[in-house]
Amino acid sequence: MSRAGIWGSALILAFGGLGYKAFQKSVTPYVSVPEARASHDIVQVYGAINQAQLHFNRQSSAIEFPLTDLKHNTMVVHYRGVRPGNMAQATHCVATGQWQGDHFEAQTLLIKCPSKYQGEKKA
Amino acid sequence: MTTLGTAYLVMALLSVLVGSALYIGAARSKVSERTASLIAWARHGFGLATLMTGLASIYLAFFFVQRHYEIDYVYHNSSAELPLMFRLSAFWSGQEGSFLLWAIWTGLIGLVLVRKAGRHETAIMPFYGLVYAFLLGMVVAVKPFAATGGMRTDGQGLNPLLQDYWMAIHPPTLFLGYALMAVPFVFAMGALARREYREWVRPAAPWAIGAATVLALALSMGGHWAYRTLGWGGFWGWDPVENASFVPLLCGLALLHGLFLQRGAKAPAQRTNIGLAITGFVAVMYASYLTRSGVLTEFSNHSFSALPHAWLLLAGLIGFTGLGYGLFLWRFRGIPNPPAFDSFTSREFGFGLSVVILMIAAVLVAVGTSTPLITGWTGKPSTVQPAFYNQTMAPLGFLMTLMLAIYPIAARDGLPWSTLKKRLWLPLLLALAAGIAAAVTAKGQMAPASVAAAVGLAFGGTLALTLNVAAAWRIGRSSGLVSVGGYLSHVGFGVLLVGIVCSSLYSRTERVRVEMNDKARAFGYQLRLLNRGVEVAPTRTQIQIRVSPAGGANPGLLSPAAFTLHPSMARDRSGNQMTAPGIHSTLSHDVYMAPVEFDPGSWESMPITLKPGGEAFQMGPLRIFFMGIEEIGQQGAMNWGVRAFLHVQRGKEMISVAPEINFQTQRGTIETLPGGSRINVDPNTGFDGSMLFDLMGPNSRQRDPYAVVDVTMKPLIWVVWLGMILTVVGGLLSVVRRLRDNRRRAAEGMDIAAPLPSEAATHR
Repeated sequence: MSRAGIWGSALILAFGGLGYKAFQKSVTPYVSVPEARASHDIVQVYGAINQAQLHFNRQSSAIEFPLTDLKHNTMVVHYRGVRPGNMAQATHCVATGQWQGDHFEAQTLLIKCPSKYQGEKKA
Repeated sequence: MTTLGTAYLVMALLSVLVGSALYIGAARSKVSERTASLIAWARHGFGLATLMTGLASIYLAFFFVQRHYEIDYVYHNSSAELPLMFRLSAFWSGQEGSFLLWAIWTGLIGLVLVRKAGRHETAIMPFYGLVYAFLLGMVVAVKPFAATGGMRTDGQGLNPLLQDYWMAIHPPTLFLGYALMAVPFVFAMGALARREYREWVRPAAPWAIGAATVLALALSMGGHWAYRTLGWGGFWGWDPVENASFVPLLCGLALLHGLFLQRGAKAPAQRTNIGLAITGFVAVMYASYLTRSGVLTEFSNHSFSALPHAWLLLAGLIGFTGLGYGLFLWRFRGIPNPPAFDSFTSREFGFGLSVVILMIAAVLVAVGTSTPLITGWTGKPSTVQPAFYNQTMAPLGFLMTLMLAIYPIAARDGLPWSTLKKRLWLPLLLALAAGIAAAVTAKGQMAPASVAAAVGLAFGGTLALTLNVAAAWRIGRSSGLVSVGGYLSHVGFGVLLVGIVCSSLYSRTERVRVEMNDKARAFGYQLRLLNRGVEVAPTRTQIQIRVSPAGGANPGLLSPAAFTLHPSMARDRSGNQMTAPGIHSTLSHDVYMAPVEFDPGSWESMPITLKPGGEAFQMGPLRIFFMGIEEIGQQGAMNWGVRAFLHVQRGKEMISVAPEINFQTQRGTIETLPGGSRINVDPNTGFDGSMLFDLMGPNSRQRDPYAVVDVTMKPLIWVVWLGMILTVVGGLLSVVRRLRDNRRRAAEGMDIAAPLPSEAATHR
């Protein structure tokens, strides 16, 4: 192998290893509620929002609501970021965060709404 | 009317296919007169295709400007109240228009390319025609001129986030970059077809530099827009849509460094450059597939929703990937592969290492972005957090700064260490000072990994910055301004890194609740809400917050002590709430205020849930019957909402009221009931069964308004913008220089593959 090849391969191997390690540490799988409860890492839970029990805690600026996953397990989600404006119409969401004591502390909420920009359009 | 638009597009598609076929005929023809005639007709074909694409674009723009909502695409992306600029920019706000924009850029670039390609014309234009035909095919498939099937007086409006100057010009720039990335690709394909692996490098270089520069400009615009508009306080979030454009940029940068490497006397990296040119264009196709096919809809806040013709996009991606790499592998063994460099201090080694580092970065970002797809195959879709990118890109960035520091002072054949040391000592001292300053200020303030990143990037960024300034000064004085383009871009990269370290790692945020008194405090400022919110656009409410020093505040350099910020909140057509920050810029930092929650002062009320046709709700002497609802407008329209029909009885008196709520503005009517009570539909109600109402007694009072805001101190954010500007200006100067060089060589009849005698000198 040429010198350039050796140097290039060494760099690729080094950063390949670093990338693999960083990937393993930061990859965030979609998990069920029991798995989220058992995990100490940041995970994502997809589930249905219980609109009837959704409320906004004005003191902490946190949204609190029960989220039921696809296997019908339910957990309480707290979210303190910018309140998604379509929470009221939302049926499902992806909560990304970590289990904390008695609830799931979401860092981000990706809201799934019945209407999408162009999703409704016919081909 | 709509048929004419489609006819333009079909004619453009046919013209470009005929033009490409004629070019293939010209390439195969052995008779020179026949070749010339075929080329002339092929050019006419490309010219006609561009003319037709231009007419289709003008026609669609006309429909937007003249408010023709009977066109489905216009109806879904524009509305009557939009000012002219946004009615025009709505053109490229959706799938249909953005493909058309990409196609017209490709057509216009093609017109320039046929004049600049010289003897490469017949080799590259069939491939270029294929790219152009694919884009036109996509436009025809997505039907930008489809009619809604009825007359409409208004449209659904433009996403409020896109109603911004930067978003009006960002997409045309990005698609220009995408279109330019096709040019090095077709040069490489032409080289493979002709088995001429050196001759394409010089004519392709200005296009490759131009593509990378325009993509960098587009991403800079997008970053600036995100900072000023989105309200999350940053300019780069490692979102799949951002990454999808970042990967082609990294490939483009790797390619242009590879092309510089191949210009050397031994012409190394011939295989590498062919591979890089193909990879750059495949990355553009892959970016389009990721963001437009809907595969990442579940994982990104930004990507377009599913495209009905995603299969066509996938077919294009597979087709161009197969064509490019297929031909490359077929010819691989026949491509010369001379050794790349002789000395570790030579510029060749620097160029080669840059290519490797940039491609490692491109692969890592591509893998991170594709994680949902890759992990989806194993049955458990996952995403990577931004930490993945930060942890991998920071060391790569550091390595890149070292490269940028060493190689401006290295020469084509290497410099002795004694000369290197002479040029290094002062910049090294400044970089050490920056690194120590970063360590002192960061220690205890952030995690150890962030401290290491801050120190490394501050050291490397300063070293690269100072050495490239010195090199640019030296070269600029001897060879003129256009010769310093590369150095200026490298200065810009150093400045950008220093800006990123300062504005990101040292930024601090506090969340405060602001009312109409002076109690709220953040970073030594006192904050006071000045209004109950003003509706500045149909779905946008702007609040005013007075910020004044209250002891301990850092007013910033050249800045008034007290100022007023105007953050706002808006809703898009899906009802998503979007926040726009209020920003106060000073020379030393920005005060960045993003709204989290705003209550304009609701009335004290009791929430009640009523069932349609159900039992009456009784409160004192009042009995309320919920009779039913009527939906107003269509879901997604600006006026979308519901009207609720209530019968209210008080003793023998019975009245009917119909409070309304608009789901887009979250505003509604308040109806007065017998006895002075009032009722409105709660903005958070659903309406497919029971509905939520707010009932206010006759003595209810209005609460004080309040806003919850995130206040962030962002040091030296302007340095980031300066770095971006310098990088882009440097890139443009490089394009001018390469064009001049090529013109001079052509005028002098020089061998296109040989290095200019001046090049070895100017880089010393």
